Amino acid sequence: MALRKRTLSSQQIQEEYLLVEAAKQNPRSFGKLYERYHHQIYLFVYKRVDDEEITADLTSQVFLKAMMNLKKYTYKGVPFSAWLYRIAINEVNQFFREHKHKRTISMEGKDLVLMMEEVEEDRTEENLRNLIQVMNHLTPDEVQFIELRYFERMPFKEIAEVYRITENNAKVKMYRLLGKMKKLMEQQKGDKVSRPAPKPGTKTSPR
Amino acid sequence: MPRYKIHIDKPLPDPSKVAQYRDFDTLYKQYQTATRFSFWQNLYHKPIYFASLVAILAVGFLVFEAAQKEHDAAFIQPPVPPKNIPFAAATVADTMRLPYADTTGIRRIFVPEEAFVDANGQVVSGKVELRYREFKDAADLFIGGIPMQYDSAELSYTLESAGMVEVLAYQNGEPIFLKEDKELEIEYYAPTADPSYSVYYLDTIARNWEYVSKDQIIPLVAHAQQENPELRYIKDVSQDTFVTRAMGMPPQQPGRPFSMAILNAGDFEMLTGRSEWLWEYMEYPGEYVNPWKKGLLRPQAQALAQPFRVAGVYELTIVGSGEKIIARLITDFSSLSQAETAYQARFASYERAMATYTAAREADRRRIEAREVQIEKYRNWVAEKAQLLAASEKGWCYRRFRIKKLGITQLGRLLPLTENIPLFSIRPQVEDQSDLGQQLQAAHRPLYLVLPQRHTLIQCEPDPDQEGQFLIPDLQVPGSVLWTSSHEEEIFFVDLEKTTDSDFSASQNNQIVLFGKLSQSYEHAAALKALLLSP
Repeated sequence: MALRKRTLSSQQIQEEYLLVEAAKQNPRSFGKLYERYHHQIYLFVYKRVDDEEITADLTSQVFLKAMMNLKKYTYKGVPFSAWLYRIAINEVNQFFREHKHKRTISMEGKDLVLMMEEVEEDRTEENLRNLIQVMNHLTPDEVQFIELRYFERMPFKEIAEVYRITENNAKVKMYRLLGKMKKLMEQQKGDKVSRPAPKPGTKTSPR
Repeated sequence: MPRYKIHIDKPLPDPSKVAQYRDFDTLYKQYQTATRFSFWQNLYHKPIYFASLVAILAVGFLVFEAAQKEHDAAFIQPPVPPKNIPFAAATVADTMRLPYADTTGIRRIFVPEEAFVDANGQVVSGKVELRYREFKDAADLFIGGIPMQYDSAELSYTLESAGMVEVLAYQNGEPIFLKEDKELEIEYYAPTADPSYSVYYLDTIARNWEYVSKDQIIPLVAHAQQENPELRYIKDVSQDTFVTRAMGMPPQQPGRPFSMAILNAGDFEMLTGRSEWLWEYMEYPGEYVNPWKKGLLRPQAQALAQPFRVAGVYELTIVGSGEKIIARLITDFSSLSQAETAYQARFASYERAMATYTAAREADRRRIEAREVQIEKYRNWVAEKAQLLAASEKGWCYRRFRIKKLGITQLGRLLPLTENIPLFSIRPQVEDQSDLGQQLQAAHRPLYLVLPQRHTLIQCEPDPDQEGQFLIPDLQVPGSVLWTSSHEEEIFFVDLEKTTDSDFSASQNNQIVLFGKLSQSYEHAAALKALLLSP
């Protein structure tokens, strides 16, 4: 299964750029961008905090900060949403730093299958379970990276814009992350073969 | 305990429910509240506020200027600025056709009338200076610091170039610009007639190449078969035996009369008793010289023939010192002075005839020279046709394209760098084992993967996780070399051909150490180029 990119065409990006420029001149014009991306950002936040009220608050903060900092926004040939995602990630991270709230990872089954192919594993029930286990061994930043690429279906160029790194660096980072996940999966398999099933609560640390 | 709460296929909130939280008016009010600022109220009442504002604006402007300069400079980064490709220049009037420019690539630049405007948008009149240069190969691209990455539709490509030109225009040293509805047409001598190349413009503001159009390919064969109307009447120059036109003999200068009285009659018995006669000395043009002094008539000179008389003229042949002279007896004049007068008249007539003759010769010489110029042109044209045919067989052609903006334009095509090409992390070092990678990163110098056979280069980025290392795509293109420059304007290069696949596969974590070689010092761009392109 190929990774289908969820992005805008060049022409749509150009049109969006005009909307951004209009909003820079007149903040009232920001409404069009708000209408366009509210649902998307709301779901993005919701998938991480798993609470509708908190999500509504955080989403509102994301757009308020976007409006206040719009003059600083520079067009880099990627959708405006990449910038909104960056703000949203910061808001969500800040929320988790300030509150004792467990981070949620929301995914669709097909996303999991796709990721399974990327780490070159067979699509078995056991492997899927292992993969979910492996997700628990990743740092929040690494999880975020996986989410953007495989769950949000974001192209590398936009991921690069979100993280303020180059596209090549984003690719390398992903390549290494998948390598790490593969090793963790192999380690999990090895553990299961060499010893009896782990007792409940046993922690498996990544290498 | 699991670190994250993981949901798979959990239903997301209903769109209508999400829409309940969408309220731009409330958001706008929050924005207005957050951006309301009391500074403006105090601005008119407290001088310190006003001074602060002025200071902030001034500093901000300076920072913006510096940032803007850095922004522009960062996009085109010649690694060794003093060795950058120099511009050629041509001064043109309103219109021009730059014929056979002193470059191998740009053949002609066609400039339409009223093509330029100044910074205020006013049409420029009078003479204009065009500055132009070319980036013909990978070495030129490296020296010029030209980025070859092309982003389109969310994908990154590298452009491979079949020729690149930069054209700028100035008047009185000030830059001027192409008028909105005007275009320059450039005819370029390109090494390929491949139609997959297109015209791209380097937009330094958008920091990307911009697709312009397709170009017009003009086969050299067709061009070579064209007649040159200027030279068409010269049919076959190899058979041209044209030489000086037969002009006839030049007029004979009359000899000066002299008296035989100066001869020693005793030496030539046959002349005895004829001392009153006048003789005309025939062999010695120019000023009269006493034959005795010239040594022609010496005592041992021997008369070969007796004077004889034909129609009142005696002729005597005398040999002296190996030269033959003829002395003619003049009988038509009663005295030497009378003969001298007649001689002067004849000499004046001779001079007139000689002037006419010389003028005719000069006209003839000019005609011959003009003819020789034509023949030379014809021969050059024949040689050029032969060159064109030979170049055509190698795939060269003329490519004509139009540019709407002054700056850098190229004939390029995509060299796809898909996401599947593995990236290797390398740690360049120089032969003395010092860590070149760290030096480069400290000096903010890029590393380039140069593909001389593909006329392109790829800027390699520092490895985000490994200090002193760079990421390079494993393109497996032969002849790939890495070039870079240190902050001390030295060029380093590594021949990737010397590394093998096993080097890569044996490397740990895709990291490999390559040894660079410090380049020799170089005097000018040509030497640097030769160095960079040498195998």
